Amino acid sequence: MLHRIYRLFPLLVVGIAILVLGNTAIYAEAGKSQVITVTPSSTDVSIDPGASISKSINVINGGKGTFAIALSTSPYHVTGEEYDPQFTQLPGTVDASEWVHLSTKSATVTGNNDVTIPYTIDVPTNAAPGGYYAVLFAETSTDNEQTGVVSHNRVGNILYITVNGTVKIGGNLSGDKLPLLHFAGPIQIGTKVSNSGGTHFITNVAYTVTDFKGNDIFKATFDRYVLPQTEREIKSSFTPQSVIGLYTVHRTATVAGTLETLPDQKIFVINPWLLIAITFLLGILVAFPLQRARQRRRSRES
Amino acid sequence: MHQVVANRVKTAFPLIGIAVFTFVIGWIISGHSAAALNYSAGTFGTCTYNTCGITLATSTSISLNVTPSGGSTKCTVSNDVVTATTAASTGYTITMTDTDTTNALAGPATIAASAATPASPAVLTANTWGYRIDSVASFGAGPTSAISSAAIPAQTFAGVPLSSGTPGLIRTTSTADSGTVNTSVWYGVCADSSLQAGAYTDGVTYTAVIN
Repeated sequence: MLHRIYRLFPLLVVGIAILVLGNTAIYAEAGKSQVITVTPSSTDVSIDPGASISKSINVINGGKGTFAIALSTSPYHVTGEEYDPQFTQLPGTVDASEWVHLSTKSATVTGNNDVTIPYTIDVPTNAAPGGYYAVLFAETSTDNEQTGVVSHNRVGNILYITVNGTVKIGGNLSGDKLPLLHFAGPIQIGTKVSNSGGTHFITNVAYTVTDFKGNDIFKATFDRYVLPQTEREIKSSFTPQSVIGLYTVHRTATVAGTLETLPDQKIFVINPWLLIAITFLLGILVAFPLQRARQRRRSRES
Repeated sequence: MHQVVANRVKTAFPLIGIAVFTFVIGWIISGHSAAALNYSAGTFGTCTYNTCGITLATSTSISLNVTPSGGSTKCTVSNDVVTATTAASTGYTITMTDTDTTNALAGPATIAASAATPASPAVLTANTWGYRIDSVASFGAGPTSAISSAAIPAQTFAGVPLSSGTPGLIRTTSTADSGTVNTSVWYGVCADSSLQAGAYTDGVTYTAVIN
């Protein structure tokens, strides 16, 4: 028995070494120096003109070391149908970030700990009804001893503020024509939801693909904010699994609370290899009788 | 004559067989795979608006030590790994800018930022620095790899956008992400012996918000 233990001892040592070194490698891989979280990442409030609302954000230090955070607010708008976020003020708009008053603009968060930052949104009495947007940032600040490229991590809580009152709402649903014939790979399905009103709404977009029997073979739904005077593209992709098939794509979306539907579109999918095989077969079926007729003609001539 | 036809048939038969076989297999796969399809997944997060959080993880600093030698320009390229996590079904966007309105590396002298942009990046030149992200904007696929005091890399770089300018896109998603995707932001610096030795530094801000 002891002999067996002695024989196994080297293996045991090697095993422990692998375990210890393996763990070190994983730790090094996963060991981020700055891990900051903000919760929530968006806040949607409705406030009367002249009123205030109190809220808070939670900032979490997910790393081991302590870091200082700087808290700030910025205007928020988006550009393009892809909704690229911008933290600057759109010309001619009200800077709603000035309505946000933080209880503090800095804090220190120890490793694996969190801090709650209260803030208020104070809407001016003369604010017109409609949607206003800002972002509340929590940003890590590092010491001045570091050299090279020094990183600051900033995470944002987007504020969707509705000032109550009569405001125009409306919008439109549109979508690009899908290809009638598709050979291989994913099929991009998309819609564009526009907002012609004065405040944001959440659109619920649903895509369904049915086969020729009417069975649902793909479903996807998305909830997305659509900001006033913008158009947002919501995309998905469906990868046909069969080598040949006739599919129908159904697209719907709620626009300012109203369900709208785009006309159904048919897509015929055929795998290119199957198409080649069919073409090849047809080619043989056509070529063979022609070849035989030519042979006959030559025989007669000779 | 009959012999010729017979030979033609013999030649054509395997080809017809292959075509028919491909066709039949296609139909079989068609029938089976249609039944096995699942509804799409991944478009639903585990939180709703007002309850989701967003996390951003990076290093605190990236060292870019370079030693010019032999009268030629030497370059060092190193990366920061940027990872965002959110349960929001909308996904997230990570962008980057300089921390201020000066994007040169400051030290005993200054190392100018590359004048190139992400839309039109360029190879680094002596005494400049910049960043690149493989397969983002017009940076090209790369792959970029770390080098230390080596020849000027073939990959193209851009200057870090100023805090007052258009942020540089790092990554955008349209679904929830549990932090499984790491994006490498590569920084490169090139120096020749005319540059004063010493420690140089600049700050970059990574910003993550949900979409």
